[in-house]
Amino acid sequence: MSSLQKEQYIELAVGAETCAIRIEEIHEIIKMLSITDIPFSRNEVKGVVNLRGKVVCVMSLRNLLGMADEPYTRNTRIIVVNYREEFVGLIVDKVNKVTTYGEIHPPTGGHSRGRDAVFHGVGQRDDQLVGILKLEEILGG
Amino acid sequence: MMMELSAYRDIFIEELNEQLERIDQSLLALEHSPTAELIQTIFRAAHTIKGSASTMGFREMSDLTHEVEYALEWVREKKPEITGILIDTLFRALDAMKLLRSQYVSGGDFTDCSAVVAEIKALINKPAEAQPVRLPVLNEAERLQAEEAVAAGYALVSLTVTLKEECLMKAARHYILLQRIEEVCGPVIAIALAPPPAPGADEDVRYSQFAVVAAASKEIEQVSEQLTGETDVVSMVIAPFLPVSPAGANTQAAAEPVQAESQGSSQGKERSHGAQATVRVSVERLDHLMNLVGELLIEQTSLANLSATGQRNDPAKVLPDIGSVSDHMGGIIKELQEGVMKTRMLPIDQLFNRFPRLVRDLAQKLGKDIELQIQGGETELDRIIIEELSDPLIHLIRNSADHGIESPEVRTQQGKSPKGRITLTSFHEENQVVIRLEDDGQGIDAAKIKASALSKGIITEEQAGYLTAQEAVSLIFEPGFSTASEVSEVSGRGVGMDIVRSQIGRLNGIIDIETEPGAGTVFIIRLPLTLAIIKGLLVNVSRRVLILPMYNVAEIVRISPEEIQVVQGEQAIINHGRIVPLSWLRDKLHYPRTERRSKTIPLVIVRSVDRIAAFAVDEIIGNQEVVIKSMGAYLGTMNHLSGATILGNGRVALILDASYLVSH
Repeated sequence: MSSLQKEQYIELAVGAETCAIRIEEIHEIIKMLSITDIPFSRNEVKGVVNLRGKVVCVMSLRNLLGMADEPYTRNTRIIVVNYREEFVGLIVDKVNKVTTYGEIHPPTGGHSRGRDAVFHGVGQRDDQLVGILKLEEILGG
Repeated sequence: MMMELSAYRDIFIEELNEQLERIDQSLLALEHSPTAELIQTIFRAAHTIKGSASTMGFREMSDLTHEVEYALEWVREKKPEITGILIDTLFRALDAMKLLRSQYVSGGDFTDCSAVVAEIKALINKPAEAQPVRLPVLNEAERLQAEEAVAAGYALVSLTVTLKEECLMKAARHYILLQRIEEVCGPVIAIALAPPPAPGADEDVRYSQFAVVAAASKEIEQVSEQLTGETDVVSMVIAPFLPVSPAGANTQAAAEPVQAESQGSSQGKERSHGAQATVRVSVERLDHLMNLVGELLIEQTSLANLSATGQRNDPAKVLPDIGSVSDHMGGIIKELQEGVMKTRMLPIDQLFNRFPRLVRDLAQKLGKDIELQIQGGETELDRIIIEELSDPLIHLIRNSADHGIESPEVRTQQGKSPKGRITLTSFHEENQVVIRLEDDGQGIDAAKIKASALSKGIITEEQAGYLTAQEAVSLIFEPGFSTASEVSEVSGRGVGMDIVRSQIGRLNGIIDIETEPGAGTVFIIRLPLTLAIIKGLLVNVSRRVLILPMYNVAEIVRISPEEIQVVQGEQAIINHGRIVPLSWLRDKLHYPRTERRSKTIPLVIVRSVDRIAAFAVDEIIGNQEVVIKSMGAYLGTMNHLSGATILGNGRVALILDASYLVSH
């Protein structure tokens, strides 16, 4: 776990939950763009956006974590991540900050098995606990 | 050192491909009319390959080309008659080079090419007339047998036997020797005899020299030791045999369509990525692009000036000037776009030049006399399309050679020239490239096709009743259809034509067939110039802008709701006397309904391959050139879309796949 502790994370919010993504996996964070929906795609695929001339698929992180969609707000952001050598956008309710964690615990367990798999572990800074997202599981699952 | 060299690997492969292509063409030309220049061209190409291969540390290739170079040097100096054997040997060497090339590219192990080297040496060391026997060319069954033998641990060897002049009953001796070879060496796979003698001469002469390919269970030295001293034998040359048949490369290509089909287009893309990592562009074209970029920069400066003036003075005054700069820039950008597109274009000769060899090998194998004529090889086409066209065209040419062109005897009986002709033509027509493949063979018998389709359950008795001849002939494109009553080695097993059609369809092309029994068949392929930029029809559906490729749009019409008819529970319209199925694009794509304002309904009539359908949209916006952008692999297969593009307002618009629309 020591390797995870040194790394920087972007902390973000979806619904009541606070999650984190390793900063190295993130290409950029952009404000909401107009999305073109795609017929016959999976529910969590919200469509495609124009990222400076590139067509990038955007997903709802809410849906991926089993939550229903909410209307987008001024705080809504798209986190563009590198996944299998291409860009994929993740829609989140809010991006909080860049941070590091003093301690990282293994996934808590006790929840449903599917949910545990999407986390690398739980980061702890002071009293706060934050689930660290495993992109490979979320996007590949 | 290795690191540094790897930077040149792509350039080396590119050059290697070019030189191999040059040898291929020159050899074919040499076969028709031997000239000293051709020998010189091949010599130079072999020399270039040798040099760059040894620089790259590709010893297998440089050793082989060294021998080829040496052989050509010999030809240049001794000026022997250019015999079929010489050409065959050089072709074999070329095949071996191509084999090494692909093994080099894929990083596999290299095949031992000493057999070819031995063959070249044998050719040079002996006078031409002492070597009248060609090594056998393995057919499909023999190749399988050879592969099995190799898998079982046998080594392939060739034995070239020359009998004594005074030997009586050479045929019998030949037979006895074959028995001996089977005994000592192992199973005989293929036999080649001397060319047939002039009519009237003794058939026995054919056996005076013969070549055998056998699977040996022992070392060559052992075999040769045990076979020395046979009665009536002048010489017996034993060498390892390299199972590269002249059609080897092509057989491989023929197997590919099936694979390509099962893996979708990704395989094709990977292939072209692997082989075509670099692009060669003429300096002239690059200069032109550079000039255009220069002009753009100038325009940009004047725009900046105008902006500054506008800020100081009255902005309204500079507006007309800005408008004219914008117009000028638009013109430059358009030209730039065309110029950049041209760097992706290649003359179709790059593809066509592979076919004379294919036809030569096919003709040899089928015992037919076939001439291939190529016209319009300078027609330019997107490199990706050229790459993807190879398989379907090879298939069509095989079909023409195998099923179309009759044997010389039949042709003579029918009063045709014994030499069959396949003509490959290419030309631009409007925004498309047309490729015509024409043969003067027996044509396709519509009644036969109908009967065959009926027996295979592709059509029903009832359908057979009202099919026109043209429609019946088009049945050959249906999956699972093969007209050859016997499956032949050359054309395969009826997996062909439907795959040809779907491959052409994937390139947004259309294939048509025209045939006249007894006179020949023409396949007409129409393709877009490029896959990167297309003319698209923009339509509005449920407040979304969608794009239909223009070459799939047959017509745009407006109808009133009363014109919609319901046939067998489905909506349809009558268009030019045909019944065309109608659907609403928004329903098809599961978009919400929107209120319709106009009284008439705009319809787009879409044609793809041989199907046609009408789609109702909310509004027709117009047509424009759109750059196709990939949607990325993450989304997975999206059969209904052929990509996306970015509109002037920065939004992404989806490009619909017409063939999906009309067939689902």
